[in-house]
Amino acid sequence: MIFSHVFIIFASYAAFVLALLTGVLFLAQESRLKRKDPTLLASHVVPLEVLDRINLYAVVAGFTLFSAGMLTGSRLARLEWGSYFNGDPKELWSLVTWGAYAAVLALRLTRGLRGRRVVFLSVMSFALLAFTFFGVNYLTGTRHAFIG
Amino acid sequence: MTEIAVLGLSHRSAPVELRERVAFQEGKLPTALSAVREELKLPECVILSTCNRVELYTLIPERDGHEAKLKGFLSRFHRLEPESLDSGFYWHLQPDSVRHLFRVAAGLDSMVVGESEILGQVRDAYTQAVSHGSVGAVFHRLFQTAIRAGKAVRSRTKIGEGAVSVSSVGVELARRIFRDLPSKTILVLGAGQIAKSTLACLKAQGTRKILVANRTQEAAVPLAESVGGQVVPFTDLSASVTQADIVICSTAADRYLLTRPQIQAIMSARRQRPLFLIDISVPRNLDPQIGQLENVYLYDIDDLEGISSSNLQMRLGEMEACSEIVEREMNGFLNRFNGS
Repeated sequence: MIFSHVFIIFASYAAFVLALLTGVLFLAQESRLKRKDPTLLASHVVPLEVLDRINLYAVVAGFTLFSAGMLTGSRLARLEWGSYFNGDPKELWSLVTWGAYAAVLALRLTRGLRGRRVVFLSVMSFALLAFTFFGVNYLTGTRHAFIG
Repeated sequence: MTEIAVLGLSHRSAPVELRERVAFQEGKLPTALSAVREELKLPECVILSTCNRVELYTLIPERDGHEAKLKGFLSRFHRLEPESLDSGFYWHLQPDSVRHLFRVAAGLDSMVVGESEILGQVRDAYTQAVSHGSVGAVFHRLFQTAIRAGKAVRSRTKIGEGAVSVSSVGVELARRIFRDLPSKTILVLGAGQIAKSTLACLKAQGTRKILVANRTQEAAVPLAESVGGQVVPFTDLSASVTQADIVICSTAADRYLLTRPQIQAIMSARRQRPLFLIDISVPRNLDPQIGQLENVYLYDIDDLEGISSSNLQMRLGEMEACSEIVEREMNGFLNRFNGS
């Protein structure tokens, strides 16, 4: 069970990395279009609409996997540590990250937002994800340490 | 000793009034080619005649006298006063004649530097001359090398890259915003010349859905018919813009036809689908503040010209690299020519 939990979480990270990459490309290109950068046409690029679409799909995939990962994790916690939620920093920060991506999806799917601001939010959400993955292990005492 | 020579005139040397008088209509080329062969006793000849240049490439037996003979032929053929051909022409002998052909084929001598049409025109001129028996061993090798050099210049440098006309810049920008141009809707406001050519460029990308609005119905109908579009009322622009993905605006209105609050309302009605606005009109017809809205990309004529001149600069920056390729190909050709 621990393996499926780790596998699903890592798969969600892969999707979120794709969202990050397309998001950064989108923001860079959008800003050149808005600035009317005269060298804009000198390079071949992926259209904004495509980047926006892949960013959305990647967030949907990542969010779904991340949710599943949290579910398997909480069941694992119940078995191993006795409770679904134990207040471990990893658990807390995962909830925060989950909330951030949930907000991105809510804005996109229910409010119909697209473009710069929601893409920017998805890039910022990745910062939370990165903290949940790396930062928590270094800065706090978590039972999710990979070693020991 | 035989020598490759060229007599010609181009947009660099002569005004269009003279160029159009010495241009060869396509149907007249066979007669001209056989006249050069039989009257002037020149066995090999290729005539390149486009709207920007008329050039006669010939293989002459000795250097003297042929410039005058060829000009005499032109004045007889086109029924022009011989004096009218006194200026505007250039006459090159080896190696300049060969270099000139290679530069022409590579697009380095074109009005729009690096344009690719000329290479096809050189190839057509060559095949026409071949089919009328005016090409021998020397010109086969000369023109095949020239065409190959033209291709090499194009593929190894950036001379042909970056849109350099206002209308093609518009299309290239659209391709950086939209995923699938053929599925998009274009709205044309007004019917200026640049608007028409931009529309033509977009249509060439496969875009089929075109809406046309004009202050006067009489102007809208013929434009809509010529592009297979649909006339929409000028009074209800918001409804049309809501449907459109690309708006090309070039009316003579002296006020803003669309303002920021209007576009803001339109953007929520279209669920924030990207909107690309091209304002070619002077004075501008679209409030510049519209460009600050999210998912809206507004370009006016200065923005488009800025990009096109930057691309032209980039092409000019490639000239040196292109000339090096031309020189190399030319020297290779001349070595073989002089050796054989």
